[in-house]
Amino acid sequence: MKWYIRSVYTPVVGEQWDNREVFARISSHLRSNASRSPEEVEHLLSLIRVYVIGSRTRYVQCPHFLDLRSFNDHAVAFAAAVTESIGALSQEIRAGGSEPFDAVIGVSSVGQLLPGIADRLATGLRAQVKSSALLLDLGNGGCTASSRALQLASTLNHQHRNVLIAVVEPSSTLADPLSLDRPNWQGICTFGDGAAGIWLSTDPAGALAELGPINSSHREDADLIRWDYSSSYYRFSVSDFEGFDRKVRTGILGALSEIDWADTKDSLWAVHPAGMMLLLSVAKRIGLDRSRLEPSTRHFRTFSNMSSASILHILRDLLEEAQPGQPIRWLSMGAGFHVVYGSCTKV
Amino acid sequence: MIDRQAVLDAIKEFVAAHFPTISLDRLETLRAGDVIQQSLELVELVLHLEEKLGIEININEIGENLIVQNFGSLADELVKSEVAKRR
Repeated sequence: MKWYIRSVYTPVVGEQWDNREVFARISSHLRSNASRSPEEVEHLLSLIRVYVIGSRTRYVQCPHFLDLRSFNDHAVAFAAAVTESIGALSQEIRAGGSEPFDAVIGVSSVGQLLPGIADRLATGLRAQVKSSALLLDLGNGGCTASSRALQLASTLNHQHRNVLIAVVEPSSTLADPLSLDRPNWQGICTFGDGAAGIWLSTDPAGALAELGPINSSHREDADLIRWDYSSSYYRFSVSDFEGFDRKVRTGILGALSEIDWADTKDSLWAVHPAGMMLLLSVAKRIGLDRSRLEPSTRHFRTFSNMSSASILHILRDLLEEAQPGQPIRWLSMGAGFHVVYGSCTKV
Repeated sequence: MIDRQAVLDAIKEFVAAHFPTISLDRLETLRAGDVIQQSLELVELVLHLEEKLGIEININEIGENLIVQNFGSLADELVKSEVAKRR
């Protein structure tokens, strides 16, 4: 059965901060924390300066993330961000119109809530979601979660003709502002908050693209990217901070040696913007020149790494740019360690 | 095994190509952070060093030294790091 991309939704949620503002807020917060030694704080701030060097912006749905102290603070911030994202997605989906959805898959790597994302979105979209629709949330998928959802949706049978995937990734609600743990700050400095959605249909009428194969590989290094735990919540962490870049690069290349993937000169590419270093070094190793990476680097400069929402934002840009018949390919990587390659062809 | 001079030569080549207005006479004493202002430039420097020296650089391992130290100290740091990896 063939699947088609009917629409990609990319609302912008939260407020825009540039790197300078991020650094100013973090340095003021850390320096005002009397329980830490000034040497320790300055050492950490020097590293943070590396992470936020240059001009890059992000969107922040929880502008008070440096004040989060309790489980309640984090969970409430997550729920509020999800409400904002679902509202923005609903507005865009309603405005665009759609066939009634037979399935809604909610995606978030960040937190938990009940009722879930799919249930809340179905309630918000009313008649656009069938009352008999399959509603489920997909969690714990890291930065490849939206690609995992696409992989899942494309295996559904003919009873599901119109599937909506909704992604909400308010990473700022995970921040542990009291910790001096370096991976925690690597996460805070790398991620931006974001939301996205995609409508898949078995009906080619009005389609933007025909979905191609989606292949994935999980590597042995399951702990490479993981949550760590503070006294009040969970936070971003990695198993080998110093060797992180090397292990991620090795993991991606190892996965690509197993995955059935292809490139042609006319292909447009979206690469998950895990960070500028990973973006450029991975692209170089798989033979993508700088011009073909531009949509991904442009996204990273504006939105930073919005976890699994990023790849859909880049995909939408590429679908607008592509000519009929032109292939679009994407590569996402994240916790697991998990790598997904997908493709579609502009109709 | 890389040596300090090879690292400095690679840095010099990068600075000459990307920042032609900067004098290379006292390159070792320049702070990397005063020259490198953008993340893309930082990444390009790292990728350039990896290619020229045939090594793999972990940004988290070199950490803040990438921008707070001068190029001379950064060269020392990279040599030290490579020696440690081979032990």
